[in-house]
Amino acid sequence: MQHVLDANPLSPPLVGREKDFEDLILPLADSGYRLACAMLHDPQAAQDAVQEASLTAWRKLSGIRDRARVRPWFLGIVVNECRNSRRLKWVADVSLGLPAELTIVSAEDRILRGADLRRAISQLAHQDRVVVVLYFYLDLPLEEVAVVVRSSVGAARARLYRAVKRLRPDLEIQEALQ
Amino acid sequence: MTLRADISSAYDEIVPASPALRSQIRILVGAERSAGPSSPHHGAWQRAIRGSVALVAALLVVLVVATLLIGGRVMQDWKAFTRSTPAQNQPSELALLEARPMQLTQLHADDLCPETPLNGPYVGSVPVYIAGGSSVSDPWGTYWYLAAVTDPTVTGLVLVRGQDLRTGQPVVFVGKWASGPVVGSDTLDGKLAPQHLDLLLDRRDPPLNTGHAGTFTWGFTAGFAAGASGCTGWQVDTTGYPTMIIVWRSTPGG
Repeated sequence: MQHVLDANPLSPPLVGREKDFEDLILPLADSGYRLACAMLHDPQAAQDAVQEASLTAWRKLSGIRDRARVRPWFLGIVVNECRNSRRLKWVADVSLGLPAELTIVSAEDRILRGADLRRAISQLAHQDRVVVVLYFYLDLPLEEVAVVVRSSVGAARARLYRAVKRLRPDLEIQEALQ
Repeated sequence: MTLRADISSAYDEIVPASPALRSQIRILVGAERSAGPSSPHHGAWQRAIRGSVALVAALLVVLVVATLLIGGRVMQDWKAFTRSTPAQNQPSELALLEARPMQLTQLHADDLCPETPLNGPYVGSVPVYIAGGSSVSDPWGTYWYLAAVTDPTVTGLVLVRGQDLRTGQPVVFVGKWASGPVVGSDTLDGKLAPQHLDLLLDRRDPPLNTGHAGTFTWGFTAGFAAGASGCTGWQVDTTGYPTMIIVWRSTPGG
């Protein structure tokens, strides 16, 4: 497929907050979407959550002083939106989100393993799940993970260790964190 | 495999591509921006009334609770009312919109495309605006990721139908808000998607975004079969509003 992006030749050049938003927030949309998908297991709800988070970021962007912390700040907003989204939808049971067309026999084991892992992660406490997704799926360093979950680095690390022990009790922590 | 690789693989399976996401975010933020920056006075005014609004809200809550305690029957009547209303009204409301005649006029090959002028970043006016986004092409044709922004005054259904004004080909819709007859299917973003002839926006089941002052932004995907001229007419029928025609040119020189 050929992608044609941003076919809007009439847009004026960006300045000020618009440029900051374009430079700082928009590049994080994909990470936010992956995070939201992992939290919600629903691509449409994930898109809604990231759009809502982007609006919030736009409204509060002028208050950001430390640009190096924009990523954890934005992902923190996404986490909040995911939490709100789940509250709104009264999601009591987590759909595994397996696409219907994924029925290739040779890939069955991998898919089942993935489904088991997603189910195990979905049963972690909310904050533990956030830490696992940020650290393992989005490859965020623990320092940024701590900012997202509004805790110290030590507390984030403790959450991560606890979650890893629940997911893979047979693994040594250092081996699991690789 | 490491735990990190396992987790990445497990989630990658359920995260489909979302090529339109950035465009949709730009449209949302654009809608917020074009509503105008809030002035410091505006903020102060908001803060000033917030307290009194909270007080009124609290009084209302007390009133509602008291009413419910005094007459439990009120709740039963209300439930009966809300249960029956959508079921009875929805089909007839849609049927009324569908029954409105198509008003899109066909162009000759050498006619200029009578584009609707831009209204800020959009085309259209109250009650529905349409904004452009990005597109992808495949052997079937081209899909545009667009957005419709509904005015706060929209309370019911919005039915959008489209047609190429030169070739007469209908525009098809895929995705969440697509509705009406299915005329084909295509693989889009790795998924088999039915192609519908209508786009149906129901204000009673809105997207989760909270645009400025009660507007809602509905991201949608419109498909144009190969050979489309790029000069597209949109007929927008909204409950409580007359039919609106928007002419949109998707390619330079269309």
